[in-house]
Amino acid sequence: MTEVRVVGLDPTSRGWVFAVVETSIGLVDHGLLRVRSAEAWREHALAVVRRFDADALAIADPDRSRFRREALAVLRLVQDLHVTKEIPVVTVDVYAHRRRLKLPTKRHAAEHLVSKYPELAGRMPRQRKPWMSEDWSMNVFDALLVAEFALHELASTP
Amino acid sequence: MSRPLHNYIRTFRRRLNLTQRQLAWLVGSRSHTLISRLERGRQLPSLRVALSLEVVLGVSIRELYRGLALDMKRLVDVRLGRARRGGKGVAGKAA
Repeated sequence: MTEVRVVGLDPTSRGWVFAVVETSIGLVDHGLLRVRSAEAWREHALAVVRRFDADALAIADPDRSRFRREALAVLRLVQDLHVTKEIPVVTVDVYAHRRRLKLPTKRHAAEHLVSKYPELAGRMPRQRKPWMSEDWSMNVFDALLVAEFALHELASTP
Repeated sequence: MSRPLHNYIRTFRRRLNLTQRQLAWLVGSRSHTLISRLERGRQLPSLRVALSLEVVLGVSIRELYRGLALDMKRLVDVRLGRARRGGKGVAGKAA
């Protein structure tokens, strides 16, 4: 069986949130990698890839997502890693993927992932009210969703 | 295709929702730095700690150290191959 390991990244105001998935083990690790300077985003993304010796990096497609401007710039920076052939970067249309899985909201996607990986139950933020901003731990699920999609794509490619 | 990671202690520890401190206590260590060092691959566990990890995490040591186990298997296979061909080594000396 082909082993594939993918790092999913999601940018937040604090830094990269990452989730690492592997074909045989499932969720290997997840966490937050603080990025303190604006120039270090690319290096930190590469550092996670090297740390986990990953086959590919997965991010949300910057052309099909509703990120703030700074986050979009960071995602495009990472997308360039694919162009420069440093690491294969898989961009995922998160909305289309969620639609395919019949998960209308981020909350539904998070619940779906918690049922698959119970160790993430502690990361599940409480139901958000309309006036509340999103909890950063929700980004773990975003990173995991893109990583899972990329893993499935790569593992099914002969 | 990637090779397995050196070890999966962190993965299985987090699956059980254990902190490094809790796992350290369970395997009979006074300090959580041991677990940190093991997870980062900076140190290999003693046989006592390895067996305790197996019991606590419910995974065989071979599974926990999949990357290392694979490396060791390859090394031993190479040595076995040399011994069978009658080359220099332990087997040659014994003969």
